[in-house]
Amino acid sequence: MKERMSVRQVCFILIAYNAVLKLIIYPSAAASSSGNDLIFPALFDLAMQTAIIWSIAYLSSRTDKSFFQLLESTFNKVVARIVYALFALYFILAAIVPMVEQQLLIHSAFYDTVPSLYVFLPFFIFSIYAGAKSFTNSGRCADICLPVFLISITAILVMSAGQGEYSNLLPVFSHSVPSLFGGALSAAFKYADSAFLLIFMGSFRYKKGDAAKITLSYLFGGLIVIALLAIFYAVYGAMAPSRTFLLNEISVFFPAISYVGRIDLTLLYALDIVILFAIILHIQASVHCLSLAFGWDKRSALSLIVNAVLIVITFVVNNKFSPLYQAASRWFWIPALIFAYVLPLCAWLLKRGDKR
Amino acid sequence: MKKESLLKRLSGLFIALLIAVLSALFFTNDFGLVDLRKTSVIIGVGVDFDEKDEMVLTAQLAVPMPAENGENTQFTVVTGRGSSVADALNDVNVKTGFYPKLVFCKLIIVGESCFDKDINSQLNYFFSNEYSGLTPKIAACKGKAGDLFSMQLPYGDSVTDSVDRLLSDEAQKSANVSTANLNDFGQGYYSKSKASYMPYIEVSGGESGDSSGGENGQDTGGEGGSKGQSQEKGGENIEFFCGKTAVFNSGVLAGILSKEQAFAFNLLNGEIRRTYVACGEGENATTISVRDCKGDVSLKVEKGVPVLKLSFSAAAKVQDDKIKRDKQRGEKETPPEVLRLCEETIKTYMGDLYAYTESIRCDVLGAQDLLYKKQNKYYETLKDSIIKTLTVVYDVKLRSAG
Amino acid sequence: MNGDLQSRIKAIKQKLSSQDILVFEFNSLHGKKFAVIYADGIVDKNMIGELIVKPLRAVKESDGEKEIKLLLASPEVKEEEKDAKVIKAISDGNAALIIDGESKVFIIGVKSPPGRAVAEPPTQITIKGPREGFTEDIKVNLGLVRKRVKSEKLQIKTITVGKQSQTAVALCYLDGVCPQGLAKKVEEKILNKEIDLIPDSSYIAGFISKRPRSLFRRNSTCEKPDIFCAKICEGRVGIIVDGSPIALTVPYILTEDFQSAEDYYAVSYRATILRFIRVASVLVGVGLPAFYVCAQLFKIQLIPAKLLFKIASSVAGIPLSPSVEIFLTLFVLEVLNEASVRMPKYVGLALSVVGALVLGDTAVKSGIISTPAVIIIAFSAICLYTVPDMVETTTTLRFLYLIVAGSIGTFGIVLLTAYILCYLCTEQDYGVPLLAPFAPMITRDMADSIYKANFSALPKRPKVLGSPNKTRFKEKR
Repeated sequence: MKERMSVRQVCFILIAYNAVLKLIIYPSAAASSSGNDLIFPALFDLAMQTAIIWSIAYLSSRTDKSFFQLLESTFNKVVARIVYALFALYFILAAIVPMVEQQLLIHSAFYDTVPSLYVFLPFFIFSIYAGAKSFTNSGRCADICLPVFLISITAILVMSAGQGEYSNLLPVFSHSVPSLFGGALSAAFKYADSAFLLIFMGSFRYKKGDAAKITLSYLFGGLIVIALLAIFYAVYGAMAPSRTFLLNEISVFFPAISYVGRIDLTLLYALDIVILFAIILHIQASVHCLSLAFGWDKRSALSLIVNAVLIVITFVVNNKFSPLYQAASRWFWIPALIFAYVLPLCAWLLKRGDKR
Repeated sequence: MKKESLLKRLSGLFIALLIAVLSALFFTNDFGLVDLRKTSVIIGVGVDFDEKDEMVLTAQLAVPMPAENGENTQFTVVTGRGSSVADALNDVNVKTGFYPKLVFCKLIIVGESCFDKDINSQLNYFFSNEYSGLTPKIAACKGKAGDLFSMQLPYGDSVTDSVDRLLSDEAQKSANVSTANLNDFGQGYYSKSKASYMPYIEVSGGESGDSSGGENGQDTGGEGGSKGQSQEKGGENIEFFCGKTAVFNSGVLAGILSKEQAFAFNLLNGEIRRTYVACGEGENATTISVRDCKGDVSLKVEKGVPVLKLSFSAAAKVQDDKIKRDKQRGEKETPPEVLRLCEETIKTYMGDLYAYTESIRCDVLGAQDLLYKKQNKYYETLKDSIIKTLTVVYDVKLRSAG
Repeated sequence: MNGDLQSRIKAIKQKLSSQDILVFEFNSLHGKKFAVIYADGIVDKNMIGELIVKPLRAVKESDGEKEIKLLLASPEVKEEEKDAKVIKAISDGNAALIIDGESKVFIIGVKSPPGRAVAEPPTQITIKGPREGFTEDIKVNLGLVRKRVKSEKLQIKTITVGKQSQTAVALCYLDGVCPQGLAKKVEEKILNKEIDLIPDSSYIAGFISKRPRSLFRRNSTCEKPDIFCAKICEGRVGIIVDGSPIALTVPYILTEDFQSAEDYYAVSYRATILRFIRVASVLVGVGLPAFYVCAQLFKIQLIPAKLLFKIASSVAGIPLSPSVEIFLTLFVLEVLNEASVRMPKYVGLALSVVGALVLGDTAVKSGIISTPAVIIIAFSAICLYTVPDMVETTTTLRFLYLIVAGSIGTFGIVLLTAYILCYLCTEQDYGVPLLAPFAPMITRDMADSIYKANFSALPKRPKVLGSPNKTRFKEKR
């Protein structure tokens, strides 16, 4: 299947999808681990990941090959297939936390009383369908999602920015450097978007200046997250860790809400569409990797398999989100480091061949 | 190819099955969830403790009645008991058969019986419940909160709506009331000062009403409520007065600021749009309106001594003709002596406020929090002694509104 | 081929044995024998008299085909030898002139099928702008197109479809403006299918679509020649089917449905506002009943407190669950809609009274359904008719959203929206994505999509259509 996407679509993915998945439970968790200094670990993670994003984007300027082709030309097809199988596994694992976060957000923001887990299961019907789609579809969906994201997030920023007490963010660096570094490490699995860019390589045609566009897009998305983290802490202060969902809670103090009702919920619902596509991208990436790893082009069947695994995991981790998140914070930085930091850097060592 | 067609055939079957399941759910409404018709919408909550130290939660419920044209919502009060808010709410559920939802709760009133307990932990349900949020306004009241909610007001107005109006943003912006919501209360509670505040509601009944309520400009009185209610104050004009402010130390009541102290507190604390200051005595008595207000509390450490600066600046204008204006300066100019008089009045209020908070050891002005946030390097050395060693500077500057 | 008149007539009549196929035999003043065969009802008999019989009176016994042809007064004369072609021509409404002793048969255009005159189309009414609409006659329709596009680049290719109906289908496109090979592709798709009868262009729509079972259509329809010509000028292929007043154009993009003819005749600001209103109306029309059900069942916060209390007052005492109540109201609306379209006009008034007044008012008064439910469904119905071309899709979607909202809740609405978006992002016909210019984003084409820019801001043809001739508007210095 031909998987073409434009650099613009890659940029949109890096702005919107990058940001939304960090706006569900991560702000609350960041407030819990780093208190009023929550933006510093985030800035550190963002800086590191931006550097890696730039390195992949710059690598794309040197070769038209996909990462799979780079591996194949340097080693052989078997190695490339093994690496891609591991990537597929990584994307499945990376989908678990955002998927469960999304489930909890739905339970909280879409219902007045806690619904059953079964309410979330239709997600997998969509996931099986969309997961089988190519990156061309992902790119086009990103074209739709970016305006939705920007409009919704701007409205949320406007509604919440004036309601915060920014002195809550003081004093800066009240936490020790090791503690902040620990915070950054525990959130590192959230900043692992370069793995997607690595897989996108070869799907988009690089033009001069695109590396800067891609890098700045990622930075822009990251800075939106940082801004919302700051506002979130400014609004809730020391209570921020107990306010689970930023998107559901950050704009509730906007004066107009008391007159016109929870208009912020409509923004949240719009953003949830973007969240859905951002999670689906994990499944699409996993299906893409599996299809290359096993040389099997039956994407619908692969999507069915990936989703079957995720359904089982959903049932296993049901009502166990806290330990799941803790485990992810404690351990998941290791695979994130390998797939989103080490492998992208190693890609520079692979045989690139001539750029067409 | 054959497998693909099998998958396609299965997907067709699956879609048919899905539509059947969704339709079944749709028509049976069997979700285990609570829809609008099974819900009691709580608009206000009163929290008290009885003699056995059991929580008594008085919930004001909106009860929509069938109406062909327009709205016909009546309000009823239901009391639930339990060891916690959640327990008491469950009791409300048991009593009414309707599931109580707090999503539209806009007011929480704590009664006197709660003052000696950590209110924050008593109201922990609201702080931890993601369905209710931290937007409800919070207030303390004299006597029992349950009694307050049981009052019958004229014109079918609910107590919640009446009090909510008194605690509105507009009232806060006129410095007459120290409006606070759960978030404000919690932020104070969790700050380094551990001090928080909420308006203190007093109810007065009587033919002429209590003069102390006049400043709020809200007269909720009128003909007494309907008869037959055991706790109604039939035949009396009921007035709520929210000019005072209850201050809390670690969630426990530390004291109640008088009207003037609360006024000074509001000037420093709130974003005041326009308010009125009565100053002078006898023939010199006048009312000044102040606008473009900027109140601030700041802290500096000078030579190891913490200095708390209470500053307020505004544009002032005389509101009556008692004081002759300097013709040369133009009729619209406010005479400097009037401005100084007003400044002194405000300083006096601020002094009273500080003296009172110092006496009750309640850092409601947030000195300790400011020390932590803005003078952090001195925090460890001064945090325990700051209240005792604090020097207070008042900086009140009024200019003529012209 | 036998030139004997009687045997020729017999041969044709054997194949065209229907009684409405008439044979008129006559002699010239000099005794030459002729016969005109025609289908009764679709030819103009006066024209047969004036153009054929009258001039041929003067034919001499010795005159051959050439001389006879010169005498025929009709501008539309063709010569055919094969019986099959002659039969087809007769079925098409032409007259076949058989001359005794001649092998060739003259096919003379005297077609006059019963039909209505050019009138304002009922489905695309405009306040400003041309009012002519297509009719069921392909010739009239092609004439209306020619009237507007006089360029030599206008190509009209006529093909015959339908095993029994032998319906004429005309493909219209502008040579050099329409992407190369597009017309050919369309033609191949049409000719690839074999069917007995083509009663309407909607059959052809099914042929040219990649996914004929899709909820979203894949071709644009129009009844107005001005719109049709504008689309051809953008680089599309237009299809006119004999017997159908609805013309088709491909490739299709979803935003076309939100464009109205009037947008191009009104001030661009007004047109932009109208487009926003249409988009908002469709969203509201499709989503409002679903959100109303969700708000009652799952998330009361979706409604402001004061409004909620009003709604709660209205629904208190209604015996049906919120979802069933809305479903029932919607069902009644659809029944009324269907009945009002199908019912004879003289009972239409009675239906309005019974439907709107008796049913609606009584149902509310008796407490079976609530006032908000009626308001919501009525408003939803009105909203959807702001984009009439999409009504088939949007009304179905409204039901889908309602079922999903009543069973899964708001998450179901979000999920279905994501599913539809994902589906629409995937779909493309003739290489043109359905959701263009939004996905993929084509900034240049946005100027005539959700907003309507002025003509001067639209100098280029839509990029998405891939026309080889990109410029459509140039200012002459």
